[in-house]
Amino acid sequence: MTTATTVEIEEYYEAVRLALLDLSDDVRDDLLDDLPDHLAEVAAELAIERPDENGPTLRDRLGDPTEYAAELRAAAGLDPGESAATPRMARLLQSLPSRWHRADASLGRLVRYERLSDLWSALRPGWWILRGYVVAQLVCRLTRSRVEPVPMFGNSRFVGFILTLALMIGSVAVGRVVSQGTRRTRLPSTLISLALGLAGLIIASDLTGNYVLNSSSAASNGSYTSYGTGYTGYSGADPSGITDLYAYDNKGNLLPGVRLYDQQGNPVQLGDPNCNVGQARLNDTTGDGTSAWIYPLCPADRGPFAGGPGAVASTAGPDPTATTSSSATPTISPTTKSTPTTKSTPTTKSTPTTKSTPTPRPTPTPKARSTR
Amino acid sequence: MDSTQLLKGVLDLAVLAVLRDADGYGYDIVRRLRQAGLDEVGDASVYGTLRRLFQAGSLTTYVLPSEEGPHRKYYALNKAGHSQLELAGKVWRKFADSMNGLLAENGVAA
Repeated sequence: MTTATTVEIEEYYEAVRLALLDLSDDVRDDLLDDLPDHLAEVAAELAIERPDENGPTLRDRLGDPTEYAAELRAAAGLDPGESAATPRMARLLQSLPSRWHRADASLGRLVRYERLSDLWSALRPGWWILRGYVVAQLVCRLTRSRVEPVPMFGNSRFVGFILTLALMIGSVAVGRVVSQGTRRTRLPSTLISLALGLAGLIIASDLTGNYVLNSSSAASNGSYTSYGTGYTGYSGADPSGITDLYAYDNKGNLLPGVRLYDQQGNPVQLGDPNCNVGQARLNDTTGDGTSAWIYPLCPADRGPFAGGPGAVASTAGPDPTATTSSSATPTISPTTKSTPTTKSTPTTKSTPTTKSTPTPRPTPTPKARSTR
Repeated sequence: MDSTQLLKGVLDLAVLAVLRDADGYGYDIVRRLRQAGLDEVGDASVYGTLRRLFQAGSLTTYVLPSEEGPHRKYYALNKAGHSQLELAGKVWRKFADSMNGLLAENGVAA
């Protein structure tokens, strides 16, 4: 007998049993005593009649389980009034299995499956692999504070990868064994799977939180506070569209060699470090060993104001405010106050300093002295 | 006329008659009834009837292992069953004779 018919028999038996729930246990057990054998006999007969899968089912042959139960009950001389008197709720409960079967079939048709549960069965190995991944993430999470798309065990990507692979294989093997067990042995596994599914959701939200949500929310807030150490391996343009950062002092002068940190001392790493042709990234030992980036990442002459507002201010002469604000720097409002910019002609000298000192000393201070 | 309605009244008798020939297990009895021409007999009805007859004390049961595997519960007529069959059989024959006579008088072919 195939497993399909075993399941079919189990379901049919269960449905009949449910329809007889109002009877006392003794009477019901007595009535159902012959049923498994009977169903097995009919199934065996059907198997001969239909070697393929599309032949008549137990249900086709014996009718709806609830009707079968009613017939059994009536022929056995048990009061059918009892079932009519069963409360609406009980009757609803009794009809649930057949309702489920109908819904299963009609929803299955939507996705071109005979039953929706067939689709579920087909997806199960996928879930087993995912389950292994979730366990790997949980184990690796114990060894480090952040979640990575490919789990890292401590600081080792390799161990994390091997561990993940091993757990995936193990999970599939466990899934195979458990799925061949009985309903009773499957239950604990189902519960564990549910818990893991939940853990998976949390991990997924952690991952998206690290890699997408934070940057987008930070971009909308205008404050780049939530960049943890996990960005050290990250390169390429920031998803928020920022490729570089330019810092200006309150005179409108471009500050070279700026390092940015958030409130926790984590370096803010935004933009495309590959633009950093001339400048080297400084190793920051005060943080947690990760390198802090030096802004601007691109050479200063590629800045948003092509040479910087400092240069603009110096050529503007007596009234720099009008030109600066009108030309290209609406955001750099401090320049409005900068009447001393007329004095700040040294900035023209200072702009080359950015180019002349590509070695990003952590000190823009000499330049600050020159401007004041 | 729907023969399932007729069957309800005589299913006890039919089951008893089948068991007079030989003991049988549930599904075997269903098959023998169908072979005898009672095509529309319902599986559940037969099982329910067997249970009721057993409860009423007309049948005895015993279990035998089957060739295919599971043990089977066999039903057999006991003394009470035999006398019930005899009695109900007489009632049926009388009833059937009356009906046949009635139909013959009115020219209905058998």
